[in-house]
Amino acid sequence: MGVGPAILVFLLLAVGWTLLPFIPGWRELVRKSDAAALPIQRRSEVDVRHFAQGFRAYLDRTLAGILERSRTAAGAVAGELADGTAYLVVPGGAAEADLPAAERSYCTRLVVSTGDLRLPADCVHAAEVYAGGELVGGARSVYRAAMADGALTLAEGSASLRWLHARRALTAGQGSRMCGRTSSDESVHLAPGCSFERLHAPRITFGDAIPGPQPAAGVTAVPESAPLAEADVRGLVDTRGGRWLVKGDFELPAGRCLDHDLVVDGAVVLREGARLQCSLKSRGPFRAERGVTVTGSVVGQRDVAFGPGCRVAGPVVSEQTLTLGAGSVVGSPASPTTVSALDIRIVPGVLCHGSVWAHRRGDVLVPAASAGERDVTA
Amino acid sequence: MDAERRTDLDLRAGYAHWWVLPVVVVVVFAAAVVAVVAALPVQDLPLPDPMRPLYVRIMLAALYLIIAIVVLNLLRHYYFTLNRLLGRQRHPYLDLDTAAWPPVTILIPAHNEERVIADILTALLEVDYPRDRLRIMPLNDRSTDGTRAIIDGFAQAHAGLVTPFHREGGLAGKAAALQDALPLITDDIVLVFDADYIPGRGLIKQLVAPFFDPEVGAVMGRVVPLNADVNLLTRLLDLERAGGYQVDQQARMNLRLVPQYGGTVGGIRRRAVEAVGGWDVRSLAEDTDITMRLLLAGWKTVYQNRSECYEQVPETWSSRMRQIFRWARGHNQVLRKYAGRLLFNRRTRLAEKVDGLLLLNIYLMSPIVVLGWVLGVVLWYLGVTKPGLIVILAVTSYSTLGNFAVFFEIAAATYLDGTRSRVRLLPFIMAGFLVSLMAVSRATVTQPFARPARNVHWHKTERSERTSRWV
Repeated sequence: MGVGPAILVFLLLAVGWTLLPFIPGWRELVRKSDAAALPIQRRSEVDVRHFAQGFRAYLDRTLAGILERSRTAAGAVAGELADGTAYLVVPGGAAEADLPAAERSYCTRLVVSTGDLRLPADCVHAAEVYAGGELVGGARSVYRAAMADGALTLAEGSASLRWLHARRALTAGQGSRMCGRTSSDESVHLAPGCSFERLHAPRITFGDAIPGPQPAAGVTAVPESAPLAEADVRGLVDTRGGRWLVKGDFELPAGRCLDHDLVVDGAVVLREGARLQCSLKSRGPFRAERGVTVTGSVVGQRDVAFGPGCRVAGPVVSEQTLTLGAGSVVGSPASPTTVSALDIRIVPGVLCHGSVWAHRRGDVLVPAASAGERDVTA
Repeated sequence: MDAERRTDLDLRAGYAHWWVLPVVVVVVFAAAVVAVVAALPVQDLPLPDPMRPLYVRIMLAALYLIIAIVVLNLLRHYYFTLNRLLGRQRHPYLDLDTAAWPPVTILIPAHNEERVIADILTALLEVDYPRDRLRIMPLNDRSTDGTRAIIDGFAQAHAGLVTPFHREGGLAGKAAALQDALPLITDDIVLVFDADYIPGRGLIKQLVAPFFDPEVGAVMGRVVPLNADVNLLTRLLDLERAGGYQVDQQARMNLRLVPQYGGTVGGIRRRAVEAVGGWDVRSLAEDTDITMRLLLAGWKTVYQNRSECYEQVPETWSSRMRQIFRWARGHNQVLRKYAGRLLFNRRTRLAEKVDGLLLLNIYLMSPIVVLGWVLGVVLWYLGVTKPGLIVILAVTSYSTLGNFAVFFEIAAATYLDGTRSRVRLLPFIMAGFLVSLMAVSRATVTQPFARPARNVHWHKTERSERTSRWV
């Protein structure tokens, strides 16, 4: 091959090599296969009842007729829906649902009842469970998801994998584990030893000895001493915009009060009985001792720990671990709020109104462990 | 499609030691640079020689500085992308779905927006924010079309909820309109939407939620091109936006750096903005300007990646060039005003200073690289620089502006978004970069000679009729 053709071949190869990556792009440009605008979530995706609402719509759409017919049937009615889902409609009100023997330990069918439903112990429900009335689960059972139009009770050692929703009270027995979303239109109660991810209800209680009701308007702070003045705060570098910016650590003495939004670069300690009539952001660890009151929100970049008997009116957010001491109350019936953290550790005897979201895991401590937890927050 | 979008929890799982990979990449890159330099004969190394004339030494030093800046940008892109793929994702306010929502005012700056203003007002009337705490304020700035009549129609139908502000005088422009509206607002939280954006039902709560953190001065949501499928330009801009928001902005949020308030699909805390002097009515980039001033005063801007809203991107190259030109001028204006103050500010961390400066430096990168090439060639002809240096500069510049780092970033964004086929258009991004290079270089080079504008104008992107289909 002469020099000329060699150069030509080289150039062709070079151009071809250069253009090679453009070929798939050119094809995509001509035959649009992925050109539509990115679909975006136009409704709030954090609605904790999202799946429950979807399931109810599904039931209404596919099972309404079957449920109506089953009311007059003597025993359980089994069948298959148009989408291939196997179902079992059991009569309401029986002492315990009469599941087929083969499915008493592992039930793959959608179990539906028009009335109250009691389920056997030690059973895995691989499909959803729905009760038109009260739903009472057996001990040590596992549910993919469950919904009750009445109260919903999980016996001790149970687990839910995706979601639970009750129109009335939802109660989880000791040592239960609730993955995904757990919600109620009325109340949620978790016994000691329970773990959870996302909880939502007007009233959420953890363990026994729940503190008394809050005033309807939320926490009302009545300062017992004069609010902290600028001169009292070490490291205060800026007070513009109604926000105090503190470099370094900050400590609010016992019984003292602060009425400016506070941003602290370091650690924060609120001593016993202190009152924050504002919101607070802490970039370091945050610790509130017994009886601290906050009328705004608390946001912590690191661990946030509330001691016993604290009251917080606004949202509580921690990017790491949040601990709530016994007798603490977050939110109020009239003003529900959100508690959110990577990990949440709750000493029995806590009351929250609204949402409690643990990104990784939330635990209701058992009394022995919670005794140690008190040491952390006190 | 939506179900395929990767959640941050999916990505976080199993990557407890996420920092290992970035460190490996940096080490490998550094080793490669050292290897290239070591491979050159010692006499070829372009070391500053005290015997050389001063101007040559200055040029050489400038060249090294340019290489350092280019490499820093390259590493930054890689670091952001790897953080987004493997790092722990921060969405601290995403879960705030239940709260005593504060009163909020939504501003909609509008100048001759009769084609779209009804759509956004309709969408805002459907949001799930408590009505008694919501106020919608269209800012009609001397529109000469039917905008005023449409707004007044809404105000009449929703008295107390829609409270328009019709501007008849003063400086023109969005910043001036916002500044004039500020005294009329009593609420502390103010959200801003351009007239051609269509917020979803849950968006307002998502954008307000971060303000429960008293440190937050501004919030920015994610902008998603609606008209992505129109032509090559819109598809490339769709990719660029994905990279910019899904990767760049979220990585800054993850790393606690400086997410940027973008002027729309976002909000500000009124008392924070007032504390830093309000909107700069003469700024060409009032959003970047306010981001920087809030940062200097110790307020944070946060980015909410899940708070998405559609926008319309330019559909013609000329329109895109004008947009880039304006952004470049505005950015450079802010750089000139605040770079020094940021460097010596006591309220910002070192990482924020570095990121802030690099953020402001974005539109200087094009002329910097061009200058680097010019310096390399000039020094070469002066017999100073050996080819090795030019090669290093060319490769790193290419990598920064047109090749792996940015490509990687955009590809990662499409992966995170769960869109598969559109990533095939990645090589065409080069075309977008060439256009940007020209527009940005022209804007920057001519900026020192530009006369200060006597008046500021409304700068808008040409729009099609697509927005209404989403309402």
